[in-house]
Amino acid sequence: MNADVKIKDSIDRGTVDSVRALEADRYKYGFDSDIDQEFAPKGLNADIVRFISEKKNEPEWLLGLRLQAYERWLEMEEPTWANTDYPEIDFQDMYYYASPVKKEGPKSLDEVDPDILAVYNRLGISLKEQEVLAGVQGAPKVAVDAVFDSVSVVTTFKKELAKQGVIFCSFSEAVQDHPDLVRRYMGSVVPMSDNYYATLNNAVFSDGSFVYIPPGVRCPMELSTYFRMNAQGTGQFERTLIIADKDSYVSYLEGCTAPMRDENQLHAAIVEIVALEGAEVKYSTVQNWWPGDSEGKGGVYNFVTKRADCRGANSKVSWTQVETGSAVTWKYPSCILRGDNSQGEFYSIAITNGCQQADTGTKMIHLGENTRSRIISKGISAGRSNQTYRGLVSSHKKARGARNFTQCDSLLIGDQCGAHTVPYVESNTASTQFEHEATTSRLSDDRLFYCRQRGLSEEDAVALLVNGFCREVLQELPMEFAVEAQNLVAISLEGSVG
Amino acid sequence: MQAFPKLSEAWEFGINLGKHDETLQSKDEALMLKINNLSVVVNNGEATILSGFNLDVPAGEVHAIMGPNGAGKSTLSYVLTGRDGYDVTEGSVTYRDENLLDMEPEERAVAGLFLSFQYPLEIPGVPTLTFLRTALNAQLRARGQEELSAPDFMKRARSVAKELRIKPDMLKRPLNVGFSGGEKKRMEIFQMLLLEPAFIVMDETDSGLDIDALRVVADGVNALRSPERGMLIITHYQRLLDYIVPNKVHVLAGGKIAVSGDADFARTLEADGYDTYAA
Amino acid sequence: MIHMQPDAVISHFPHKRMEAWKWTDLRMSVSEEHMGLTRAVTPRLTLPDGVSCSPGNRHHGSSGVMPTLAAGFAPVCWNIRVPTGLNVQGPLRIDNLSGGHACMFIRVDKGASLDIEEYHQGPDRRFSNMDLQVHLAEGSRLRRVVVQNDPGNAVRVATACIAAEKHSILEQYMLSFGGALSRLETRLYSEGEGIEATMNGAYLLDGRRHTDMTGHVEIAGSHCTVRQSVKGVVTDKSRGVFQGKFHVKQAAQHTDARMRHDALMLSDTTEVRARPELEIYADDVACAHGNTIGALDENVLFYMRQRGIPQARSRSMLTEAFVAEAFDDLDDAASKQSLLTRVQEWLA
Repeated sequence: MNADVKIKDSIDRGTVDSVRALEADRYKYGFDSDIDQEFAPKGLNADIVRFISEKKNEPEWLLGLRLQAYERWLEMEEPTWANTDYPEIDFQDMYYYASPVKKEGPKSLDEVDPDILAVYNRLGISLKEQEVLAGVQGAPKVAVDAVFDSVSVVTTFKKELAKQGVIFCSFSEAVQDHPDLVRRYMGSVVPMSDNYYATLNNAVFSDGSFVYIPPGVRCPMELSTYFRMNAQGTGQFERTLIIADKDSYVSYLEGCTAPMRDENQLHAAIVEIVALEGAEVKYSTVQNWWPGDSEGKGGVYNFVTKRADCRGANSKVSWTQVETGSAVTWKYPSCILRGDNSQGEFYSIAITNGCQQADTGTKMIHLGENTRSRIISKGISAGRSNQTYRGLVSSHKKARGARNFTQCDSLLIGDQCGAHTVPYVESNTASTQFEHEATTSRLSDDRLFYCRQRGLSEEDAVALLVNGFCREVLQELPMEFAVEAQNLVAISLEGSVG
Repeated sequence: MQAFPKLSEAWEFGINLGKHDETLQSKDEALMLKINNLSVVVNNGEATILSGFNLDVPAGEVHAIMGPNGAGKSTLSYVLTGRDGYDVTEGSVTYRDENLLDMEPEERAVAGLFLSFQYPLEIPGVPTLTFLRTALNAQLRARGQEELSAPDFMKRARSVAKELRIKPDMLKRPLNVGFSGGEKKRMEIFQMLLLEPAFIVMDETDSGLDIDALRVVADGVNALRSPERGMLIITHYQRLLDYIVPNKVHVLAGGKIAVSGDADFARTLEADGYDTYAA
Repeated sequence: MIHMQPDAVISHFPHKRMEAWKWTDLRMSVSEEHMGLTRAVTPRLTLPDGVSCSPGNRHHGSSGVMPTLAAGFAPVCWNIRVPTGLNVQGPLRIDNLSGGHACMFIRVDKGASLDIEEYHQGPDRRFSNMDLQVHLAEGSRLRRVVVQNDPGNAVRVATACIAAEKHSILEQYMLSFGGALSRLETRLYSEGEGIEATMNGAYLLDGRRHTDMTGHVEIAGSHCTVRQSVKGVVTDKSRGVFQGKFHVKQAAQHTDARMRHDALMLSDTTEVRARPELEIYADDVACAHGNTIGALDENVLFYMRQRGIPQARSRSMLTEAFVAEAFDDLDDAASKQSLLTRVQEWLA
């Protein structure tokens, strides 16, 4: 009877309704937009790197860094250790810079191409400051940096944020307006040649978001970046840098979509977070890049390096991710727990369907005393997809009192998919307390039947139960994203049963 | 003064209460436990829990410490038994003319100090009987007394278990593992009756017990009341004191004893609440 | 037979840049001074009634460099056979496995049952490499009790590859006290349905000792049950490594597989490494793994001391109880007692 009660509890009217209300179209973000674009020539060489830097009017040091990264990248090999399988990427058959053709001058909303605004409206993101995210009643204000292919088209609420000293702008603007901050922190969390894709990003990164929260400031609204990959044959290499100064707080959201295309698009981003003493950063991602069609044709290669440095004592960084898109995902948002008493969290839902492959997880590196980390990972595999949780929890000699708790659950829907768990645990001090639990199971037939007996269709029942399975993580999302994420869970699993 | 209940029940358990009285005989008949101007900090000095705390418990008496949540009742029990993390910054605790604070936790246990834990711990892999026999013999050995043979110990354990309505198979299971809250509390009393301590500290023993279990526990405790034995009952509710009637009731508030009274005072407290004293 | 100089042998050894050996760098741990790098050792077998042994060829190729080297240096593979239906009384004892390469093949025929006791212990500065292959025929049963107790400068690799047919039963209990390096690897291939496997073990390490318990379980048949629990106790500057993998293939529906590794670190200078892995391609399964690393629970220690048990005794009691869990299910009282006595001696 216990199981019955649990199911009853997890029946969430809202979820069921919203699942019903959704368009039948599985990937509603798959539309293509015809926007005038400016491209760099296809392929990658030192000249392209110079071209990008010049387009952005970058200082000498940054060009130097790009070229150095490019040289390093040429010597590196693409990593093959992940549990993924895809044809070799031709790095020369790709555009490294695409930008909507725009007029000169400052970016105000009025000057943004109405076609681009229409794209964002279709995605449910309003770039008008008086409006809130579409479809969410009573949601608080959200400042948005909209990144369209390689460049940031507009950042909202900048003035209001500036009143409190918060800097929220595109990375390119930050390079121009706040070069000291950029130079001081860029590459201090993810070193230039950290890995193959990060090195590539260092050479060709286009744009992204920059955030600085001054000491003692609690950022008055959610900050958010919406990444949209539009142009055909384009790689997207954005770069995000978030600096939370002493005792500050910020919550940051990231959303990603891309059109349906037959070819594979490469996305190799870097996100760096620096949390100084007593600062707290909450970083949430809803990643819904085009996953390819059901036969595995097309889709985004999402090879991303995300890392936070809890540099100061008592700092805290929390990663929450909902990963439903991309053909291949290779992503390990991590925390370096350097400051004493610092905390790292990783909450993840990853859903793979069709022919998707995801190798994702986190690293929690305990360096400081009494550092704590928590990992909750929920993986759902359906269709012919394969998914791997890969994680590292380590404590160093000086990390006395380090604690970690990891819970890693996998759900399999159908017998053509795979779910894998590869945790690495390394402890170097006795006062460490590490705990890891993992389970793999299937969606319970009994529960499915129970729901259907109560009148739910099979797909609704699956969505409902999967939402219940993910609940712990969904709760961690900011309210604006939670609804979207719930819907996404349902859509991503359409066609996975029966 | 409340008359002591008869000891006859205790004898029925087959427990020889007087067995180690020679070593446990109090040197100072009048005072068993004397706490003088005690100040205690936790979290490396970040918080002061007790400050200027005074309490005297003579042998043969049962004192109750009551108070609101967070007043420091559990801190008192841990300071008395020597748990790490509770630093005494001022004052003294004398137990039978010895400086209690100088002693290791196990030395205090050997000296007869027993704490019935608010949250008894689970010890996986160590059967209850093995644990208790090890503890009892360690105490006997430390006192220079003869250890109990396995059959004698078993006989005694079974008889006490019967009295407390503890099923024999529970004694074979690892200590407290998978036990309910009430079972754990009963197991604390079981240990108490077996170890026959000279001074008993009970920390929220009534929580998690239903009324029948409470009676069984109270009977066990009352059976141990004797002119040589002191007891400190720490409780949030007065309920337990209906069954184990104390000689004195103290209210702990603001880090010290705010007010004291007799057994009836506990009822007044229950009716009026702690607010008057907590301020 | 192959002929090689010791340094050439060492150059073939796996090392830390190989994923399966990243925490156990064999190449770095062996020197030419280790005796036995290029020679074979003849295991001493005490055969119970009905069990036969003859020198022969290696049965089939097992994967990995170390078994291949063992097969290369050992002139013969000792073929041990338990005939159909025979319930062997008394254990098959295997020792003298130190100072060289050894190669054995054990076949337990249909419905037969065998207990093995392996002793991996020897003098100073020995290198030892055992390749044991086992075939469990339908409905057969094997219990393998392994004790490894080498000097602190010995290096040992022992690999067992076990192929199990349907409804066979494997019970394995290992106790390791490490060495300069010890790697005890078990590879189980469950090829049929309804196989039951228990693969438990414990390592207790002091000084600068190193033990690596690696398990690889491949499940291809349905309704298999696997239980793996490894307990580690490390102190001084020792290092414990646990690697486990359950690979559940698509046909292996109704697999019930559980893996655990729990390690106690008794001093601040120790290291523990763990990788409990699941790779699952069948949906109707219940698989789980757990891993804990930590010190003894201070609250429990205080509780025991409050009851009058001295600190040192409290620690050894808790540690023994922790380790003993790995041998709980061993239903041979004498065998179990002998393992526990070794644990107690180590703790004392």
